[in-house]
Amino acid sequence: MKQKDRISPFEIDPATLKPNDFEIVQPEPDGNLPATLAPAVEPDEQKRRPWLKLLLGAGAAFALGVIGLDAYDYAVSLFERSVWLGGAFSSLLVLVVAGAIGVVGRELMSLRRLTKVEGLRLEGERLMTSEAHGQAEDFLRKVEKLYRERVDLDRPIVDFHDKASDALNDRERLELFADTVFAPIDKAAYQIVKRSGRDIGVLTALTPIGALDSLIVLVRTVTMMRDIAKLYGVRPGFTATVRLAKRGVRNIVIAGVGELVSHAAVETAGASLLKILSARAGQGAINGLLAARIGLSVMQICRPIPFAEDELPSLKKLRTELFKELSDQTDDNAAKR
Amino acid sequence: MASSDWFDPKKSPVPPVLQALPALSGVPGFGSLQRNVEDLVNLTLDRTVRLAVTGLRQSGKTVFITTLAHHLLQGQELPFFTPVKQKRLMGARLLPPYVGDPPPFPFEASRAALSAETPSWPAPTRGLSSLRLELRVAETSFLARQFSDYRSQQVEIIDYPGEWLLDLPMMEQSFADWSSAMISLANAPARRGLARDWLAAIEDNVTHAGAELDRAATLAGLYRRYLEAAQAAGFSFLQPGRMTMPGDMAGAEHLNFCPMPPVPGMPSVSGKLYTLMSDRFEHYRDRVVRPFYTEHFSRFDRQIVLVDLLSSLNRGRAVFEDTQAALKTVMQSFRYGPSSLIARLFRPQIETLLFVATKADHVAHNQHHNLRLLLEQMVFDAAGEARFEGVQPVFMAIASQRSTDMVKTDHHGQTLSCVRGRIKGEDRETVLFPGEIPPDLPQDEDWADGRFRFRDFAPRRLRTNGSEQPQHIRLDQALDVLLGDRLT
Repeated sequence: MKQKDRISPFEIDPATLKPNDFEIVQPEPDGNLPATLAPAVEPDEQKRRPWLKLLLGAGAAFALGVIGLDAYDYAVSLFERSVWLGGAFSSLLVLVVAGAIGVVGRELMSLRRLTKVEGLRLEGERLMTSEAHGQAEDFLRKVEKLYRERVDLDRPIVDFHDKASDALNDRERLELFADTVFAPIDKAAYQIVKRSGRDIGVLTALTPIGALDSLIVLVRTVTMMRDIAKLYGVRPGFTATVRLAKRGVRNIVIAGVGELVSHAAVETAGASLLKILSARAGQGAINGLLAARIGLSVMQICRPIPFAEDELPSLKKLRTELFKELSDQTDDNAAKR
Repeated sequence: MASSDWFDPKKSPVPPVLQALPALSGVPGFGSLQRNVEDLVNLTLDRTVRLAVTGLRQSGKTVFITTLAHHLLQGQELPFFTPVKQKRLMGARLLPPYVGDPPPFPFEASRAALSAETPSWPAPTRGLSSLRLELRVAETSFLARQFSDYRSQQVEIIDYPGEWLLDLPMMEQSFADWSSAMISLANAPARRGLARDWLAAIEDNVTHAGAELDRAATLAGLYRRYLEAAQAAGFSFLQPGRMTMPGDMAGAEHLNFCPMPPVPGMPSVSGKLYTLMSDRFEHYRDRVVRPFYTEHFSRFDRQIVLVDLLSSLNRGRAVFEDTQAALKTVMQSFRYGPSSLIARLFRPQIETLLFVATKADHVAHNQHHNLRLLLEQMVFDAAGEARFEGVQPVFMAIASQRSTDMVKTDHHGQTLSCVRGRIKGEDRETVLFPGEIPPDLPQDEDWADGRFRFRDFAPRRLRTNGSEQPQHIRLDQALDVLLGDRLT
């Protein structure tokens, strides 16, 4: 603390203050407390592989060049045969290129959104441990901007501004925002995870062909991840989905959802799983649970404000609910047969 | 449901068998029997929270209780309170006190004082009072909904003059122990000047023969004057508490006692005086303090300790340390430990302990963190017992009723966070730069003049029905620590 230049308490006559001498509220950012936690998502990729990158990059450029050149030659030769033919072909080509640019642009955009959310998340994690004042407002403004097209969140956001007192510190402000604005999203995301887990469980239990259920698991898991990400405002494209999947799986190990292995072992002894096993649906239950794990992990990644310690979506609760539904479903099935 | 025929919790938390009992309440002793049975039911089902609102005098107990009840009744402005957060709070209402309990807390009067055109702090508490609130929270779990759509939780709060709190440690003392402790306390440098007359008088008591009663009255009068002077100077470690705040004992003859130095030869004139004083002390200890403790203080299961840190800092080192010592002594009178069914029924103990620094609105928001850290340091010893028993204390800086806004001013090129409000007792608005709060216990140089000059502000008007301006600071978070986990 600044010991020497401390200013002693003093009083100011409000009459002598011009209105713009002071503005109400929000103290200056107080940089005293740079408390940071280890991020739940590790900053970046394992190893850089420059040669591989060169190979892929140059290869792609080469292929593009060859295709472009070919197309050009072909167009020129068509023009020689007939202007009409050449014209039609080149306009098609233009459309193809425009389409390609559109697709790539969208992919890039969605990737940027994901990166932005990840950046916000890191900042959010820092602010969640801060007792200082003044930085949360900027942060939350950015988060709100992320959701400005979401009509369904307008009310909660207004609600938050009504409830937020100027005395809240950064952590409290973020907590309040999460409780007001994210609570409904969290609930919906949790439902998605549960539903997907159940679907995967039931479908794998019912498909007779082994190869088919891997496909079902894959498709259903990807849909789930995209749905969750969309809910939190990421709207992932293909690349972003792949990245999300990678992060999601890696985050399982780091974040709290990793307790599965031991818990699953415990559950094996439990009656519910035995019941499922007897219905020859054990594989389905495991698949469903694995997908649910990824789902919860994706929830954590896509939420710009990290979950508070006691509000982390609980895999334990999800597992109980999931197994209950699964055994009910398979029971029904057995009864029908 | 067959079971609901005899006991439908929707209608009343008390089975009809017990509801029939008020008819018999005219019979002496029946009221308390009914109360005990009702208690037993509530305790077994964990539906009552007895909240100890602890604090030395002028620490803001009454304002805390008033605004807490006000906001709960309103159900507004408590965004951090779990049932509100989960949108499950259905409402709250005041319940009349049980038969045989202290008179009701003057809630309406206190609220009226705070919400008047020119609001003022409620008058200091002069006697015991009790407040009972019932909260209703919607049930969410499927199973619980089969029995009732909501859960009801009672909160019992006792308000009392902070002075009386200091009497509790006397229960463990004999007259001789107490006397020597008090005399050495009065000889402390900061107090000696205030106690001079009384100290001189007890020294030469031998010369006065006969009429012990008059003599005792004179000495007690001097002692009372010393206590009052010390209280005016900001000290809180003052025993007996009924001397500065007599309550219903005003003018009582047996309150005329004071600590006495030990007498070597007993059957002398001064011996008689000593015996008289000693008897009165024991009477006070056994007939006043002990019942006060067993009836009201031995049954708590949650505790909030309010500390007016800013005033202690204002008054300088001696008072600060005195407050520290007083808090530590007071805390020894409570039992701490994790709750269980057995403990709830037979030996209630405090399972949640929250320390708050009140009047957080008297400093700028960016000082709250330091205020909390300083509080943690200040009561570190006082919280030791609870920690030892496995109760982890929580610390917070709150303001039950805000009296200021925060404004930023420009001071020689530096932006300062100031507070704006009406100074207590003066009818003008001012902008004050209250200075900084040290995050650690103040060192010698910090006590130097001018460092701590916090002013007391008059409250802002307490409003009903959603106001634009926030009315409190962290009252809801304090409430959540105290009750939130019972209502999830």
